[in-house]
Amino acid sequence: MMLPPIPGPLRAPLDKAIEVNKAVLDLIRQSPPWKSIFRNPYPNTDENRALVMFNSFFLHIMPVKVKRNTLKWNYTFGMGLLTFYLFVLLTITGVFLMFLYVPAAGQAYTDMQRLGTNVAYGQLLRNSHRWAAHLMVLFVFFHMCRVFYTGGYKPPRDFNWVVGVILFVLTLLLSFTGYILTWDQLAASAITVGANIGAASPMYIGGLMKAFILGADDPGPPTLIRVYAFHVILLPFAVFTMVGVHFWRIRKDGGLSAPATGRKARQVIVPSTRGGFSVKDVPAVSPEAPLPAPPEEVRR
Amino acid sequence: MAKEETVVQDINPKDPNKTYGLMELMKGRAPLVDKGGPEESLFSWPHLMLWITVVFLGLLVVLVGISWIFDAPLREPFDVDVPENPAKAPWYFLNLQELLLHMDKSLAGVLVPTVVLGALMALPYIDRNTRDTGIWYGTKKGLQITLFTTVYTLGWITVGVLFDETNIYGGFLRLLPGLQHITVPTGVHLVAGDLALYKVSLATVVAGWLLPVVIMVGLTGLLVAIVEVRWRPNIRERAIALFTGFAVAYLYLIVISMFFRGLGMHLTWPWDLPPNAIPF
Repeated sequence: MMLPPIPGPLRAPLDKAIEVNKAVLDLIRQSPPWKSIFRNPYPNTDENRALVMFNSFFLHIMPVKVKRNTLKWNYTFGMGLLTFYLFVLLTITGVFLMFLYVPAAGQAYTDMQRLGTNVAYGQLLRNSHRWAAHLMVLFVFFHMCRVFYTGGYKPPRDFNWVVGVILFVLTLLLSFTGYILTWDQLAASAITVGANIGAASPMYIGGLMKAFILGADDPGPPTLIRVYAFHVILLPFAVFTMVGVHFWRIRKDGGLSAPATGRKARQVIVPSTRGGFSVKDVPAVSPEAPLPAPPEEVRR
Repeated sequence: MAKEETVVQDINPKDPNKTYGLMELMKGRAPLVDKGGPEESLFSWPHLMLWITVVFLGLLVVLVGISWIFDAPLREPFDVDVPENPAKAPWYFLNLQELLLHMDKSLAGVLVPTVVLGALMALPYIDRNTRDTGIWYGTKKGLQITLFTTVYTLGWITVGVLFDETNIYGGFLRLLPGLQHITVPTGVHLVAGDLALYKVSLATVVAGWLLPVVIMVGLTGLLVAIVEVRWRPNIRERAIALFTGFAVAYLYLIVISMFFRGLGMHLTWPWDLPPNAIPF
């Protein structure tokens, strides 16, 4: 869209305004506080695009460059990223819910009701926590399927797949413990089924599991407080730690999985005829292509 | 065609004051291997940054939208003495709850999940061929096997669930006279400080353990055999058959348990479900 020409009398003050604006921004960008936070200029050159990733605590978890394949929507469907985002949103909404909820058998249910009646946006807060939890379970499962069907579990990502399976189980447990906290009949059904499954372990373990989950012979007040402790401290801490390991391993294993490119054998390091070594392009694309024969004579 | 010129450039410029010699030449992978060259990679800023921002904002809009329209459920206050009918677990455990209807609870609740999780964790140590990493389904055969296994799993689970509905808890075993009265030891437990044998009727063992195990192992074996004969698969394609069987069973059992189980967890049509039968 073309802007209409600026009328003559306005041109000068407008130019002045732009100039002042730029001067103010420059003043801010060159001030010590700004420069102490943002350690490099705006990332519009390759060098600064690299520096911004190195210099930021929040960005340094990502590499400077990513494979094109990583950004293809139909390669990942963003499932892992969405799962992580949901965990972040659940943590934030969860903390606010902790302000408004007391995990005592006599009060928990009325606190839930109060969220819908006495708290500004309380119902929206609870709804978003609930639906985000369901979505997280769904996405973590789809993420696992995506990784499986694209062969992302193969070495060197083998251990990270195992970490992912553990995260899948932790997500289920996290969602399950949260489901109990509403202390309504849905919670009663869930804890009954859950305790029965726990009690089904062979011999002693079954009884111990049931006692561990319920804190009593039957679901009741002791159950609520220990499920709460699992839900707000133990399991989030475990997930947080394992997510750290999961992301760290992604970087260590060379980013997301991608099809092998013909590049594998296209470049090799060979001794240069002038002494030293050089990177050489090899016309062959096949990974099985033999390395080029070394020059017959290397001058000393 | 003109002969392609090979570009040679020094990565370590030669120091004229030193002498150089070739110490050894070994076969190996160059530092650039699998890292993606300049034409196969993009700067994270702005490409990755843009997408992770867009995805976050999109998720936020969708989540707030859903939360604005649909309220989270809150049923009557907690009372385990007056259970709901049907009493259902949260949806992601409904597959386990469905299995509980068909076999002994130790088998459904402990052994099957343990075997499945163990197999999932063992997978990358069995299939270690990296040639087809990063390709959906690996091969054309992989996709065919996925589709076949989906149909196979849906079919057999439907048959199994319908069959067991008429014979729930091994009812058909009552036809075998005497099976109820024979007891077999299945473990030890403490009774008043002493170890005692834990005994159950043979009918329970057959209906709760023997038949389910035979059916589950048998159907898995049949699947592997069909895939083996029809597609001559490699390790990854075998894994695709087994994983697809797991994933489809995982989801389908949830669907059955959520939408087709009414009073007393008996089969019913979704439109005949009693109120509050869907745990949402």
